[in-house]
Amino acid sequence: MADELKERILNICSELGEDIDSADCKKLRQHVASCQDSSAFVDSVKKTISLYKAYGPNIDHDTSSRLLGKLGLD
Amino acid sequence: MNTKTFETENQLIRAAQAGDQQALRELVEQYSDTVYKFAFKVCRSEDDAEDTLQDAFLNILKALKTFNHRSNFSTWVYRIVSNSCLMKWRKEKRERWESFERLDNPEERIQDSYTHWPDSPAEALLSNELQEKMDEAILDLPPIYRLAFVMKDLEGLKMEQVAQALEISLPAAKARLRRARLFLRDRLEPYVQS
Repeated sequence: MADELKERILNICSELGEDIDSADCKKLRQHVASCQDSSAFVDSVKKTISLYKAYGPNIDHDTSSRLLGKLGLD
Repeated sequence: MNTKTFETENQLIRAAQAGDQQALRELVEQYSDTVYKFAFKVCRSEDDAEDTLQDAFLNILKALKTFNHRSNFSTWVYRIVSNSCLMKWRKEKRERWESFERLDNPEERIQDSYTHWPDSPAEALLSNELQEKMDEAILDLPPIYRLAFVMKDLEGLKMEQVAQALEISLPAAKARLRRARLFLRDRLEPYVQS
């Protein structure tokens, strides 16, 4: 798929509803569902986001204690 | 958000602004996990995340009296954390993203701060190679784009909050998000194609 088309699909999603799963964006995807490349591209963007969402550590007790100490709140 | 001693977050913030040490501590404890997670997602390193956490809270406490209660407190916090991140990057790593405008230099990599990935079933599914590619890709993304992506797509802020936190217009925030998504997707293309 051409870069210009990729940009346009993301642009439309962003302008319409920001979320790639927003209702308007879904309508757009239904409209382009007949285009296999477009569908695959949107899915790949969603998968990229989900990969980055898959992890993130919680703050541990030591880090929290060092923070409070640094701020003079321990 | 629950508070231990204060009935509302607004009361907690006002007490902290007045210098109440207990309120300050509660406020820090309430937001420290959020700030740390955000910093980690942006920095991809536990050491950098902790540095950013400490810098950000020093700045938050310094600026706390200027919070005017007209905007969302968490958005205000994100703004300060973002500024702390940007200040840190401007000092240390500016040259890293100079080629971003061309988006044509994928072979340049700086492999200086790979993330420690904690064990969990979901994370275990990701291969080490993919983890490295993800870290490389997001670290190659200039901070102003990375912040928009992390705030919107990973932290779930509304686009208006992203724009407020980054102190830019809504169209500019959307443009940054769009470019970030496209950049990361293209860098991870072999792993995210159907």
